[in-house]
Amino acid sequence: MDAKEIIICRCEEVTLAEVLAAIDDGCHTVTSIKRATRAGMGACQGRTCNRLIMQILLSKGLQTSATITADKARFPIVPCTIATFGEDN
Amino acid sequence: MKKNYQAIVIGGGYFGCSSAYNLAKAGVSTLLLEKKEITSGASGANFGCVQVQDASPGLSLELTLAGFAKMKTMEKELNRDIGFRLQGSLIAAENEQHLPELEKLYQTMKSAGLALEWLEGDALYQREPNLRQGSIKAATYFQQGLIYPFHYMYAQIARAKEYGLELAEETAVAELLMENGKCTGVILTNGTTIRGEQVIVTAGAWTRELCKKAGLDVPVYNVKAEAFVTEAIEPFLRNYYSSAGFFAEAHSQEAAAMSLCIGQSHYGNLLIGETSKPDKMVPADLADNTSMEHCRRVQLKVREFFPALENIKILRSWVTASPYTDTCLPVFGKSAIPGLIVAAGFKSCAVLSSVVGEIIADLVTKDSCKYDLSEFINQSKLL
Repeated sequence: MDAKEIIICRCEEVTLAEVLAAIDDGCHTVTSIKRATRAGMGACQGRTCNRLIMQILLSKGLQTSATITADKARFPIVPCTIATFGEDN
Repeated sequence: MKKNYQAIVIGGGYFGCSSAYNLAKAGVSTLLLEKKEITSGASGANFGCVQVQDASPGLSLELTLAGFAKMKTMEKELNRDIGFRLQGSLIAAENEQHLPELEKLYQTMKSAGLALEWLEGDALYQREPNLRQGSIKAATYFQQGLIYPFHYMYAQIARAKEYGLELAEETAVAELLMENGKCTGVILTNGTTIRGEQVIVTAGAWTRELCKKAGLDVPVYNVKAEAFVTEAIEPFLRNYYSSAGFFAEAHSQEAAAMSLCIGQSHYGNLLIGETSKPDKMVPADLADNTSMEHCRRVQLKVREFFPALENIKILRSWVTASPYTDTCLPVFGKSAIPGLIVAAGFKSCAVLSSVVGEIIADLVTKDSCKYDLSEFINQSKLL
């Protein structure tokens, strides 16, 4: 299948081809690929693509099971509305 | 990595990437050292606003205008999409106390020839229809620009590598190598010594500490700045909005502040900043953590100025060490230590980065540049 037609990050519609281009640019971590392509920046915050990108990096020998790390999970983990915050004022 | 370079750049943010790109393009053998990854610090946390109208008068404004003109041609020069587009900017007097400063800014920029607009009443809400009626006193408007920070910095690195740049990520500098009163290279945390004829420190919030060990006081401080990004929504904001109190309130070394700035990204997400706290008030182990104050204050500010957003979802937050100087002028130029160039503490980074990179290439290749940087660099002093 054409790498341009394989979606890695569904939320931000990032294709395998874009991930591979970022790797060619020197991005060798899940986080740097996120910055370069937006994979993992969408509504689900990388719940699926994080694993897929880890697999790509491992299969290319750019990381090993000892060196690879997932992207840092960031608050609020589960999307929540602005109105939710600070109800106690 | 070799043992010798003509230039070693420390720090892979806006200024490090631009310096490395311009140096490599000028044929200088260059090594760029980054302790984490390219764009991983304050530059990657930045909203990409090519801010013009808040420049400090004098040389800062001159460089800002040169940078804005250059930014308009960067996509062509880099042959890549960096997301450049023209975008309006509103600086808002949110209360009576903000008005005198904003009037001063308006008059200064008008007399410098910038076509700022002073907006009040209906004119304000025509420019920004979703701003709550009556929520601000007045605003200045200027059409400036927006880039996508990551694409901009990665594009420069990609081009710089074609010109021969060597990039070392996850490579931290322990100290500057000093010999006979000159800076002659760097010593990495792994003990390796690398020599460079010129060392350029573009290390943002870490600049001060690095230069201090070499005997140079660089008065660049930092606040911990927090931001949120929301889910993508339909076009909501026409302009980048920031409070007129931003620079005064957000850069206090004594008190935490929440100064609203908000913009809509290329992808429809709203970027909302920022809560800032003096560095010394944040314990090191909490430095990357979003604070409860930030959540509460963003909620209050959003309800005050853009109430339609209260049911929009926040996806992610971040915290960064945001560098600044008390004078709002950068520490920039050839320092009193031969071989050491400093570029840190800039007010509006994206817009200045391209022209600063060009100047640094001139300082390295010609030992001079067309601007008199003495006011900027003389803020640093030999210890």
